[in-house]
Amino acid sequence: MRKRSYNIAAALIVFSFGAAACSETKTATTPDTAATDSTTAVADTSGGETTTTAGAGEELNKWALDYTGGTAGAATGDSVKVGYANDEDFFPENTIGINAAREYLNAELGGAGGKPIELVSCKVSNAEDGAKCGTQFANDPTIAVVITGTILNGNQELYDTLNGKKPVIVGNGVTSTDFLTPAGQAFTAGSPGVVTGLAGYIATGLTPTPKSVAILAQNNPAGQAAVPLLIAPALKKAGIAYTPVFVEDSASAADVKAALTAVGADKADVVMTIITIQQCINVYDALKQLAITPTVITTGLCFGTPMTDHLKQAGEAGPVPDGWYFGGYGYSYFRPDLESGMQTYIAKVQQYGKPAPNATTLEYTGFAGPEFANLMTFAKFVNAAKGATDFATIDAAIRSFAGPMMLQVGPLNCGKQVILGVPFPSVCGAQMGIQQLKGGEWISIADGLNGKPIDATAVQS
Amino acid sequence: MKGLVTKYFQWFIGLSALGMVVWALLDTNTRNQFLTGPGLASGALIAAISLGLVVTYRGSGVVNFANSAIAMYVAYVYAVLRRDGDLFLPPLPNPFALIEGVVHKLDAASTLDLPDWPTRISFGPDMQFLPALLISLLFAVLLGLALHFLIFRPLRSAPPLAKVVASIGLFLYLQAVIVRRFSIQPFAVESMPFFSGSKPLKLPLGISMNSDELAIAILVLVLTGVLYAVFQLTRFGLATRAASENEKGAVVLGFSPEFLAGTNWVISTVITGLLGIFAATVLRTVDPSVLPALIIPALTAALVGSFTSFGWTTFAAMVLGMQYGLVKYLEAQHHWFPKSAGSAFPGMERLLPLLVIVLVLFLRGKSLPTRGAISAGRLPFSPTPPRWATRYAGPALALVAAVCGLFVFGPTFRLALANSLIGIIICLSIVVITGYVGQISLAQMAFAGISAYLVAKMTTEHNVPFPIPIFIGAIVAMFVGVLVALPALRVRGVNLAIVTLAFAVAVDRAVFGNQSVNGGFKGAPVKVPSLIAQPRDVQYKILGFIAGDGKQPNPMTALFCLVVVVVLCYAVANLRRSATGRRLLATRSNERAAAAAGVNVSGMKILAFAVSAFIAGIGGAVSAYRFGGVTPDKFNYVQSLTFFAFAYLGGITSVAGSISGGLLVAGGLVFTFASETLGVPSEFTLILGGLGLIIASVRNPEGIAGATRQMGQAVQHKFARQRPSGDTSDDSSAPTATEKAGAH
Repeated sequence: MRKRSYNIAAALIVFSFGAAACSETKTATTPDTAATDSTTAVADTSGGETTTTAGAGEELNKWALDYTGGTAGAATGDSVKVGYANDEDFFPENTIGINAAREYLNAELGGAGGKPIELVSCKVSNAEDGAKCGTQFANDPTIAVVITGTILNGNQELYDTLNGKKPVIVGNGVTSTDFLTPAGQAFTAGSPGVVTGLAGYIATGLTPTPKSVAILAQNNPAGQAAVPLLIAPALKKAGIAYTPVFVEDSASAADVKAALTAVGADKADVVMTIITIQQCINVYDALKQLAITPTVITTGLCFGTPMTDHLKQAGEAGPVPDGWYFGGYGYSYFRPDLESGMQTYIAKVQQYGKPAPNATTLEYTGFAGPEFANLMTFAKFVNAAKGATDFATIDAAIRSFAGPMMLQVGPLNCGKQVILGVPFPSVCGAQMGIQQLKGGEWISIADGLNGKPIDATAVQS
Repeated sequence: MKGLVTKYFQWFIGLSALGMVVWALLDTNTRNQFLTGPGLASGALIAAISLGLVVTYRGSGVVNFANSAIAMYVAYVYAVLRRDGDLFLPPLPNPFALIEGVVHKLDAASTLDLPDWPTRISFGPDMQFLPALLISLLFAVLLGLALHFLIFRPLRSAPPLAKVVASIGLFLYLQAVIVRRFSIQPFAVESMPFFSGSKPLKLPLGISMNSDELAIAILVLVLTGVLYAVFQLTRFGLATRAASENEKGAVVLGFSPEFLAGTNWVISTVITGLLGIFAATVLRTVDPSVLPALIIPALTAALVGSFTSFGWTTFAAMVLGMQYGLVKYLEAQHHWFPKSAGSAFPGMERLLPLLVIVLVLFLRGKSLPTRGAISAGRLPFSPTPPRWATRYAGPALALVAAVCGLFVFGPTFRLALANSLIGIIICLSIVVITGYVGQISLAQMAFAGISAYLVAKMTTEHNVPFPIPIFIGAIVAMFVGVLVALPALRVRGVNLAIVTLAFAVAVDRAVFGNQSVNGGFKGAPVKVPSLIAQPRDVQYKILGFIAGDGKQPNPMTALFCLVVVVVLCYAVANLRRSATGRRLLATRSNERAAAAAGVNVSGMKILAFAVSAFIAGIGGAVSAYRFGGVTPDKFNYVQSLTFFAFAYLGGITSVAGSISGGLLVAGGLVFTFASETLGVPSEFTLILGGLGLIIASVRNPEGIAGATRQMGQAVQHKFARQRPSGDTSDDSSAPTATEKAGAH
């Protein structure tokens, strides 16, 4: 009898745990957006801080209306459904970006074809999830397009299921699957463009030309492939010695420090890293502890609240380590311009964005911007098609999109990008930009802001 | 003669290892990479976990696989107190939520909002170092007591399997709670006030080290000394040692093993928590993956110290920490370092712990010490499959699954069915090795992955037609299983669990992380026959009925998985019923008695590993065909732990248990039902799985299948009592006395 009551109690606990999932008190605070009312605000930055000043709200909306081809005002009628798949555990900023874009489009830009956009979200963190989300989207006739965020595992299964069934916009891909899939197109230069551009800059743009480069890359198939395919050819061509070392996702700060020591970071002219934000933090600490100051060239994966919090605790101002070079899609969150749409993005994400669950601050850097831009671009396609959302129309619009793309520098050439002899059938962009935070000021090294973006397809091997 | 050769070989191995260490220290370059600040700090982090492991083992006989997760958890408690002044709470069961859920289900427009549990208890704004540390350590004390009284005290006379399972459940639960509360993103940890802003220190031999790194290294060494002194010189230590060697003797001498165990649990969680806090400040951040991953080298270090010597454990931990930098240096700077697909051979630093374990087992020449408990617990009962189950229930269940998969289920549940079926295959492999022979293997997904990658190679590079690659993959996995079985001839129980876990990690990093295997840039796709390709919108006409709804996934994919599952279930059930099955159970029950009865114990173990790895290999191959590709994440060591957890939860000793376990796996039918109908988010899979595993290990070691069988028997007996005397119908499901004795 006692045992049975234990079992019944255990079963009740399990069920009430499940139900409790939906009923816990959330403690995260939402940002006070009253001070950044976008109808009268435009982003203005100095140093590493982004602030807003009054004056150009209408200009921002005008830019957005010109870009999307929409009509000012709120969207009405039946919704246009957009499937959205993302790895929420690792990349919640994608969701912040796309949700802010949805709110903005629906409230001020007439949605897509005058109808409000509804996101059908699905979390992907493994193969089973990928197949499940793909099946859900592929079988739902009301879903007009699928936009992915950043998915580390399960994207192959997702794309396999969606291929030929739904138009797909590959959001912020980071694995080779994202850049080889026939299912959709990525409107950015993606990792291939950014990594190759960084290597090209080290080879021909950096002065004085370095003699040696220490490379720290993630120990996964994408990281292992990036070094020989996208980095080594440019460095070899320039006669620069390079030494790679690979670290695992779960490597500790001490492991990263040991790896940097092993790869000769103390003697190398340049330390190039292709790693996640956790390891970026570890690299920052390691360099500080080793008391060495090489030129650090890395990607926008190092942006984010964990890095900002960490620097704050280390007594440094600014969102990223001072002196580092960052590769991205050609424009800067910290020096927002009007033409690329960055000012519009900054103002609107601050107005409509909500922090990720369990977060206290709004993370709008990193992948949030391009994801915001992806939904804006989908609305542009629907508006151009006068509200049509059928597969053929949207798929054709995606595959033939030649730009300009919001927040991405340069023209697009979907399905035809070949970088260092490697074809990337789902990559549209090829240009990238590099910025540096120096003395608290952001400097355009080679990007869309100074008119000198780097074209990855022009990097020589 | 054989002994002499073995002895010489042992000397050769020992001297070779010593020579390598001397070489590493004499050569300037290698010494500079070996004796480094990061290396010492890394070693200290590993030692921080392994010291707690040794204390727990000495005190209670439990090898706590969750020790690194405890370090992480306490570090989070400290970090959140420091930053926000809050003590976070785990998700708590809320009965009101059930009412809310039902009301909202019935009336979507309802605004009913009943009280919720808080997620945090606030102590005000951010907290200073000392109060945060004290509250965190107080939390560690309470955690230690809770673990002792709620989990491990009830398991004091349980077999090692139950304790391993409980600690794995705890590991999964603590990690899942942190992911639920804070996500996977790193959480910044404020540095300790006396280390803030300090510059790197220059130590002798050119070692550069940060003050906090030096502090944790010194703290570890001091704690090692203190623990040594406490356990060697105090009455408490002597009592603990006495109890660890012979609990009966300790009781006779007037010591309470339970008091000693409880005290040691508290000491262990406090030490682990304290060092976890220091580790987090050294790492500057804490997240749910970095600290927990240290459990593998920590277990290795504790194994070197025989789970008794604090000195050897700390020494081994330090060496394991320092080797990382040296291996990375050799990988980056030396052309002779093994290469694969043009890049350095990956994961060599993870192969070392496996190598150390194998060497330790070999050099010791005998199995590692086991604890002399007051009473040896029995493994869960392994019932003989009754004839009605194999003749009627099995086919009926298969028919129901086929009908549901083909005609009833929609796309979401068809996918869930396929997930469950693959889960059943993996659980079956665990039933054979752990349920039937009592050998704890935490490497089942490594066997599955080896087979899956072979299928990818064979179908794309050599055009081997379906289904031949499934058999070849499974056979290769079987041979690998036999290799892994060799250490099993020398060790058992927890020690074997450690060996297999180290093997799983090594395979994960060195094999699945290898571009020659994983296909690098292009991945590892699998050519799938269109009949069973999952992403197809097809319908089939079967016996005049339309199968499928014309939507993805292809119903034939699930049917293909079902056919494999049925074949394997019958094979495993027949194995249990056969004479070989009885020999396997005899081996599980008592190896000496089995050997005395003429059972070839070594042969039985090797056979069980071979069959188990073969089944896991089939599972991997089926998974490869089902998904149309292979990726490393499906077969990493965490997956092995998770499947082991669900297999135990379902019932680790029977085919029915593996079916229950398969239904429970992530993405399987149970959680899909929970998510689709009750709205339980997927991140609760591991929280509930881990919790369920702890509850099952404490309350019901036979798992869900065992509980169901017992309930059925209770009903049957009740029924039988009401029958008039003389009505003696065949009761083949009830075990005979002899059968029951053998099955335990």
